Amino acid sequence: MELFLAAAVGGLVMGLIYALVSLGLGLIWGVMDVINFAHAEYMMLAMYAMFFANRWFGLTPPGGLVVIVPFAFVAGVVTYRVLIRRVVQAPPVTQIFTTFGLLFFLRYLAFAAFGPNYRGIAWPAASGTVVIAGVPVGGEKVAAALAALATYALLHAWLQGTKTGKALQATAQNPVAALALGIEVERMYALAWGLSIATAAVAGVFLLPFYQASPTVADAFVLIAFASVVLGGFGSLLGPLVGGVAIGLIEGIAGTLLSPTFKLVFVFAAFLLVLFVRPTGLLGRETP
Amino acid sequence: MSLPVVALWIAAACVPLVVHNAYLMNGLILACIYGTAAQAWNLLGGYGGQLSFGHAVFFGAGAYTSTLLLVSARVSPWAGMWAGAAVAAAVALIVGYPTFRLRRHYFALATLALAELVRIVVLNWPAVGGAVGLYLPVRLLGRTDAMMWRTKPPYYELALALLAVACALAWLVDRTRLGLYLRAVDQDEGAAQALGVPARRYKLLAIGLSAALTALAGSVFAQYVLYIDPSTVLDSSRSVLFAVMALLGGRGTVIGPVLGAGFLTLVSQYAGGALGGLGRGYDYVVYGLAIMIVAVYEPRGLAGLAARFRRARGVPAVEPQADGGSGGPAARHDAGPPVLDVRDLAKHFGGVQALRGVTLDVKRGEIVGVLGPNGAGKSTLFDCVTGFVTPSGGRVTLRGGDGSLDGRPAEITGRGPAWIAQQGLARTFQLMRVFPALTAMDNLLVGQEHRGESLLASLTPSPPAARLRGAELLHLVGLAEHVGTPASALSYGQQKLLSLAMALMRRPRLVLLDEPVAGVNLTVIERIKAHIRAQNAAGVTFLIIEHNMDVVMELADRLYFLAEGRVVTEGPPDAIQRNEEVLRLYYGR
Amino acid sequence: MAADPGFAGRGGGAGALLDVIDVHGGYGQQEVLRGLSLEVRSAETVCVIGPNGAGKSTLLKTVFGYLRPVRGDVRFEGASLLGRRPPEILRRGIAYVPQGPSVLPHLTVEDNLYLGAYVRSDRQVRRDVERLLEEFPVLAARRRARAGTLSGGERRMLEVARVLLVSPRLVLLDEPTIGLSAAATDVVYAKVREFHRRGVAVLIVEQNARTALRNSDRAYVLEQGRVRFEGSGEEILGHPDVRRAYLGGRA
Repeated sequence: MELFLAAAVGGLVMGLIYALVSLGLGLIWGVMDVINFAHAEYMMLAMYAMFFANRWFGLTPPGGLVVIVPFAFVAGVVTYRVLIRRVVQAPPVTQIFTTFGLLFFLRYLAFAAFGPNYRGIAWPAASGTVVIAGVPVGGEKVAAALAALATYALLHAWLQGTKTGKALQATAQNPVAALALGIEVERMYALAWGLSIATAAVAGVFLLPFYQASPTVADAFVLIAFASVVLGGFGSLLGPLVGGVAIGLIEGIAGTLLSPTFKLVFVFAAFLLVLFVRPTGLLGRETP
Repeated sequence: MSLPVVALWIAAACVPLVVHNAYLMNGLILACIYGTAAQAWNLLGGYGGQLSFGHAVFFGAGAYTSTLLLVSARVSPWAGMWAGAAVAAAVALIVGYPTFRLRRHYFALATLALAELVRIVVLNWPAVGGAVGLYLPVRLLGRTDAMMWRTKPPYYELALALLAVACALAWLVDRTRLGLYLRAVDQDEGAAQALGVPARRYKLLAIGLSAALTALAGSVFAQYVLYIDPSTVLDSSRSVLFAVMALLGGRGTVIGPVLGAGFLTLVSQYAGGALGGLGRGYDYVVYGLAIMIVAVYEPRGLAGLAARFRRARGVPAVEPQADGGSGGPAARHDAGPPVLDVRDLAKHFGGVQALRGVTLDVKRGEIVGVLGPNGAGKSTLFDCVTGFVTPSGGRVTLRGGDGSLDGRPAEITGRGPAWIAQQGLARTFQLMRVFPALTAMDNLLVGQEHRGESLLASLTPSPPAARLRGAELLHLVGLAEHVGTPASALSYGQQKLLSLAMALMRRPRLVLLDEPVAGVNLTVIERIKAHIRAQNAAGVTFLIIEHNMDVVMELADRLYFLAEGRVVTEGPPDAIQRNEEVLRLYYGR
Repeated sequence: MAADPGFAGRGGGAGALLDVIDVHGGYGQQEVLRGLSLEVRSAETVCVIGPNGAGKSTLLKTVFGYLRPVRGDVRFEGASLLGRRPPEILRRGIAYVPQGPSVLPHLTVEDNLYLGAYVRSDRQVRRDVERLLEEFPVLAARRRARAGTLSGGERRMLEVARVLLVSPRLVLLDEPTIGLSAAATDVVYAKVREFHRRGVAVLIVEQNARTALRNSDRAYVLEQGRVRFEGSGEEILGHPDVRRAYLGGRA
């Protein structure tokens, strides 16, 4: 029983972190129906940025956030304006092709700039353990999970509470109507990309203290991010959150109780199952 | 195959006679092996448009199967590699079957997930070597029956032969119906199905062939490097490599993957060396950039750039014969059982009732019109009849389904669109659909007879009869000089005429036209009217949705008026014109 | 009123609020509008009727900037609208209610209303929205409900009502009563009459022609992308040739 609880708590914490990584992916997918295969690469770049911010300026994640997230936002907007805008109306093959090229480009840029070695940082302030429901969890992970919750909460509040947030929702739901109401749809798309990459950066910044950066770190997360979005369903912010937590729980519980080495196998098997059986996901309210 | 190409292959085979540099030979061998896999990827992703990011799973299946059989059962790799191919093909079909009906992105993700899943399983499975991997028995080096040699040239010849097979297969696909159908399905699956192409079957064929070929490459790879483990043959970087080679070189072309493989393997091998210690992936950064540029501007990659400088292939002139009619007896207003019988057809989408029990029939030789205001359910009616939408209730029966004019009726309710099309029913779409990247002739050839077409037959070029028919129809609709023009380069009116011709390819007994004269100028309207009349005189039955009253009143023998999902009234044109209820429904309260 | 089938309608008159001048075009390369000219004057209610495929919706989409004409011009208060995107056109004083549902289904009724005032940045928005809700108790009762749960008539009410929040000088209505009950249609046309009273010009495209004609100052009958007849609402209502325009055949 304790084992189960430990697995569930651990899974929940990791699940929230997965939800944070998937947030931006789900946002773009929902707003403009583009699947950004390169999403996790931005997270990887943010991890490196955090590393250097720490090494050169002694910053820790909270400080890193302040410096890195604005840059990430701009990077997202630029990516949209320079590249994605040209393929929004293109057939799926072209879109896949394009974001895949982006993935490649960013990853090897990291290789060239940073080399293949692993980089990590220490975060003394969060290095203790936190006890949740009697289960000890690493402080850095808890911080990341809290950052995830905070990001979701902030984004939700922004979407529901501001005019622009509502306008973004309108763009996602009916771009023709949005235009008729005076909403500049192009600007909304660029904004969505900015937000998407910014959230990826938050994930990267908080991930680094307990997960080392390398140019291929995205591999470990990209499938999980997609699985979270598909599992959770489209059309709302809650989708990637529920999906991410579900994945975290599956991984944690199946991994602890059944077999740790195969925990990812369970995740991917669940993903494939959902894909075959119910592609709209658990909460899905729109066709994917 | 042309002489220069044959000469090239022979020259390639003679390379070991002049090249003795081991480093270069190694690069060439790997280029051939990877090129084979890239070509295999191209069959599915290039022609079929289903991008796979998990092809490593097939590569690994081949490598592991043949190696395990060799190591534990002393089975010669010459046999073992075919076992590997079979395993890979089986996996491919199992994955393809449920995912092909989903959007392209999902297929890509599913392949990614599958490959990772398999990699982790193998990594943790000691019986197949686990993380340690498998070593091939070096004691067998030098034995050709074990596919192992001490020098590089035999490996090179083997790899080259395999690449030649891969290219031959790609060439076959490119020149035969399979390639045509795959490309059509890639560009517009629904339109292809409406022409009778069983899309899923061909995609499964493509993925099966692709997987088998990749597995063969994997087996040869294992035999060459003499050691395999999950990180070398099942890793996602392998999947990515095959995809990138095909994409950069030019997907959907025969030479593309070869160019891509050669370029990536050899150039990067030497660029890495030339850049000295800087070879830390700078070249790959450029490839990433190149992929993005290619994706946006020239999807055909390097091969596409080359093609822009090459003159277009001359298209042989085909002499059309007589008229393009169906050849059946002119039978207008034939009394007899109806060709199409729709009873109580109902369809709801969620809470919306689009059709509420529509009953209509079309007799042989008639032109029947369907009128009605927006939202009346006309297009839904067509979709239900032609199998694009499954009705919620009612029956649709087609007569003459087995090929003879007075044959037994076939119930077609709820069947798939390709099957229904094969029973002699053709349709066009309200939002006109042609295959933009295919030539006018190829557009028509997609619509050739598919009933009884076996998989093997699809690996042959379109029969001359089909080409002749296509030429006839192009001549009929006035597009004879556009035989080799891509459909996207035609004007809207020309495309509309083309889509009409496509529907007529298989000499259907019933043609459903959805707004055949919408959006075209008056000249084209007259031509389309004339074609419909001519075809009807030759025995083709028509059911037409159209808003252009002049056209409808002139052509139709009978009209049905639909509103709010049901038939409000029916009758000859002059009666409908005088009908008060119709006017009220159109004209309003 | 001219009964000549080739009559292209008046256009370019001085003082016209909206001037559509010999417009040709459609979606991409399609030919839907074939030399269409019409005008709407200040505070007028003009309706455009005609059979499907005549180009009615295409006309409105072209005026509002979703589509670009191949030839011809569209002028509003003297200035050309060509090449301008819908949000710009909205800011110039033209509001558009599309044919299909244009409520945002997963946002509340209240949110939908506030979005109607998206281009405004003044403080009176709240007051105006509250006033609107007072005027439509049906919507007020469902103000927190998701707009997607409204009935067809309620949705239309919402779409037409929120237009006034931006004080347009011209409102484009694309088949506003399609699929609506008689009662809902009446509500919509009550709103149209209110626009009229407030001096807002209205250009309505309708398939259900009679009610529109009864509520319009002037009307145009379109056929195959051109104006076939033009006249006052009453004149068109009683004209026998119009019926033939719908159902074909010649006099």
